[in-house]
Amino acid sequence: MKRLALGLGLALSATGVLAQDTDRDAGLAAWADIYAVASHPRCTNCHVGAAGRPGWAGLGYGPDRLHAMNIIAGESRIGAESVPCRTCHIGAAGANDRPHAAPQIDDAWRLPPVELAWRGKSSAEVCRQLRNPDTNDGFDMAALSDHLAQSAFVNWGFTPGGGRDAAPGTLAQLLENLDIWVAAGTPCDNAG
Amino acid sequence: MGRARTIARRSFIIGSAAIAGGVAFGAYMVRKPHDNPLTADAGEAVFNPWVKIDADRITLITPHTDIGQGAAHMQATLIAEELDVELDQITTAPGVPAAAYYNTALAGDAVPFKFNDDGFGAQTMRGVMSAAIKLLGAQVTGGSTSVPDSFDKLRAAGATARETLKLAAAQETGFAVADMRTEAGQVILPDGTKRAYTDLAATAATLEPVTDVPLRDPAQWRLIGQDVQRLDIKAKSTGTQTYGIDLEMDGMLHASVRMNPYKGGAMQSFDASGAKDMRGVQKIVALDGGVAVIADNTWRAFRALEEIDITWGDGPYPAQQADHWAEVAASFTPERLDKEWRADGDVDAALDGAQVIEAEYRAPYVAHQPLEPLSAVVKVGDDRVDIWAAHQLPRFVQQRVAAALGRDAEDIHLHNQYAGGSFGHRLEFDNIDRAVDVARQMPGTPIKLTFRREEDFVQDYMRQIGMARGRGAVAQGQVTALDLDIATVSAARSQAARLGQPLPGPDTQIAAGAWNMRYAIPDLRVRAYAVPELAPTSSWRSVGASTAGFFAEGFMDEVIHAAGADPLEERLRLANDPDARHVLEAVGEMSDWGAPLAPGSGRGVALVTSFGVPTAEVVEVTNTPDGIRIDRVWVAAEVGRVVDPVTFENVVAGGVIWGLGHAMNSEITYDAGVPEQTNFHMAEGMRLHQCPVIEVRGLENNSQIRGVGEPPVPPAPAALANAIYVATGTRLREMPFWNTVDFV
Repeated sequence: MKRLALGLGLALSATGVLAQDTDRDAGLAAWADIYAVASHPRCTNCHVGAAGRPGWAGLGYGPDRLHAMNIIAGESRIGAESVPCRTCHIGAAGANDRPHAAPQIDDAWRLPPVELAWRGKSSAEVCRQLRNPDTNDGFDMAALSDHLAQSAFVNWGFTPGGGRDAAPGTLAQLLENLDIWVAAGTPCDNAG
Repeated sequence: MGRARTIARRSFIIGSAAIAGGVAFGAYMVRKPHDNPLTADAGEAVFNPWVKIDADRITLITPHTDIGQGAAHMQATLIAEELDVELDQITTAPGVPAAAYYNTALAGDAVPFKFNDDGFGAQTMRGVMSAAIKLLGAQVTGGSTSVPDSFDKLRAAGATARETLKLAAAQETGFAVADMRTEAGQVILPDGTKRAYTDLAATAATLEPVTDVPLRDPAQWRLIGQDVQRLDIKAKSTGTQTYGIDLEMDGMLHASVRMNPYKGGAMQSFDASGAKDMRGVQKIVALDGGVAVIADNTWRAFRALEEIDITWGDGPYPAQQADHWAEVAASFTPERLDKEWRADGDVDAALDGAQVIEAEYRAPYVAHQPLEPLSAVVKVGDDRVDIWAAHQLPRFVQQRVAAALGRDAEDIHLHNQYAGGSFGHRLEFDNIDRAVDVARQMPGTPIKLTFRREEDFVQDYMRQIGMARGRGAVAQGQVTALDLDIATVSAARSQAARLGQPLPGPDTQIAAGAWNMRYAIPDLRVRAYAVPELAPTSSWRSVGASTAGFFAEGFMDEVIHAAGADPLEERLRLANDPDARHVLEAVGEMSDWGAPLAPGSGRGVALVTSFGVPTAEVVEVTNTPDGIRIDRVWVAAEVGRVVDPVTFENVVAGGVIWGLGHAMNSEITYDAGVPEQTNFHMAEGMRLHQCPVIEVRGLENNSQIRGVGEPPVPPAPAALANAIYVATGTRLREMPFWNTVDFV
């Protein structure tokens, strides 16, 4: 249903008909919820810059901070230059019920591309970054929606297990908010 | 070394006994009518042994428990120095628990006097305490006493063995002893012939041992003070060192326990239906206050335990952390005054009308959290009980198990093991008690009990919780008055109560590291208040000084800054004895104190005396965008004599890391009576990448030999807090610091 809604939204916004009529405020509200997810430590831990140092948060780890063991994902973003992420995050989906064990997903653990770094950035900064294919790793909005729906990382972020803090809301709500935001013409609050 | 010679002559005689064609040498205090005879394994005629030589090998007995501090190596080095053997020629063994191994150095810090106080009262109390320890036959590894306990008597043991072997060679060859020398496990005869100690053992066993042997002048030492490769370094570096938890035996089963995490509470009921049919589970056993699973391997025991539903009863202390703190905060009253330890000048008069600097400090409960969780192997037999475990109080284990099983202490055989850390944890008995509880259910079967890490945390006896309230005054850029009130629960009383030992008088540890501060502040008062028992507590590496040292040196720094003085210069100005001045000067020189620092960087210094060792540390930090980075630490400690420079450096650096790590991020808080932190991810200490460069210097000015296991810990939190203040302007008065600042 939501895939359909997204398709419809994209189609209509492409014609330039409905987008203008869509409530910008609703789009901004939807974005605020998206940003609540994007800015949550569960996500910002990996959406980090060129330094390639992932973060750690939740579970009694104290304040949001740099990943322990001096882990640096490097230019490869997978730790190939030093300790591969897969040394601990072995890459198969795990039960993730041991809080002090490295969480596992059904994908190769890695950091997102540097362009998608948003740790420490404001809502408006992330918003503009995300709607622009030049700064969002080349995604158009449909592809972005697909990515979020299918990514093992994003899925895990909502169900990290082992007592870890989950990203706020659900994946379904995130996708729904994305639809609304896209249908509204991906508005960003200019204040940021 | 005149003192050592005197002791050797006055206090030691040689014991020797044949052991299957070999000979055992030892030394023990002469005037000890109450000392028990040595315990020995069946069929052995051994007493008081430190040196055992038979036709095959030279064995040095090292009864101080090795908990990672290098005690086995240190003891062997001291014996080998005088025995004239190389360390690769010997084997070491921990020996059996024995009263003869009672700790001669323990009394010094157990009495409420400064270690260098030679007054009548101090000497009398030490004498009384020494006698008590001797009578108890208290074989204790703790209180940073292994080196001071061993330094004279183990060299004497080596020297007497050496001289008796020379006498044996004289008897066999007809040469005069005076013409012989010894080297590398051999007696060298005047004609150049070499006789191995092992070949002389049978003859030596028949001799009256040589009783009056002067100890060598330090100028002749081959091993002491030299860089000697530590005996266990190869095994530890290659992962082949076996610890108690590594033991395997034929027919052994594996157990683990879940005890009421609200310590002291009962187990009301349990339902094991979800666990009893799990793979590998052999038996599920109800214990007093918990439940155990016996399985075919440790992991299956762990997993089965998690499937048992247990209803716990309440424990005897406040359920919520806030109520613990409230009790501590309410303890600064005359009724709870444990002792006014220091009253120089007139503090009340000095503070009256002055502009008073005030602050409150806090230190939380923390767990011992050694890397090797508690474990023990126990086999209950018909006529003997064998226990394989690492413990710092071997004879207490023997007596405790004997009492629990209604047997004679001689039937309880403790095989002490290497420990993967203790920090005071292995002064407690939960692993032994529980392992015996379980093993007695399956007589004849060796059962290894291993605590899950979570159980190790939760069942721990924490470091004392405490607070301090400080007031100070300054004038003309100098500290003029300091008034420090310290309130903690008494870990010593909590621990002693579990041992069934009375603990008369004030608890020396509540204000340890504070009341004995080596500063001549004109008006100085330090008072200790005893908080009534809350959650049970125990000795934690450096004990009282780990909290009171932080309070004293943190607040001292505040007052110095209020005076506008330099933290190191003002401490040096106030230092009231040469040892304190020397260690401060040393860290000042090592750190190039006063040199300009990069923007965002700061240095802090602290000086704390604990276990008789004045230890100064300078910590340098940088305030980065991601948080505080600890860059470098310089440490100087006055220990009288460094036995092994490399081990010394490692133990001191380890103590610094321990102190810093816990100050950064470790605490135990209670919710519903249960510790909230159950594993290293919640109380992790220092990470490898966070470790600063640490430079260590041991000073050898004092005639008293001192141990250094604990003294490097207390200055670390204070020096770190003081450095962070300089770098950021934020004054940290409460551990752990990560509640206030981030660390990278």
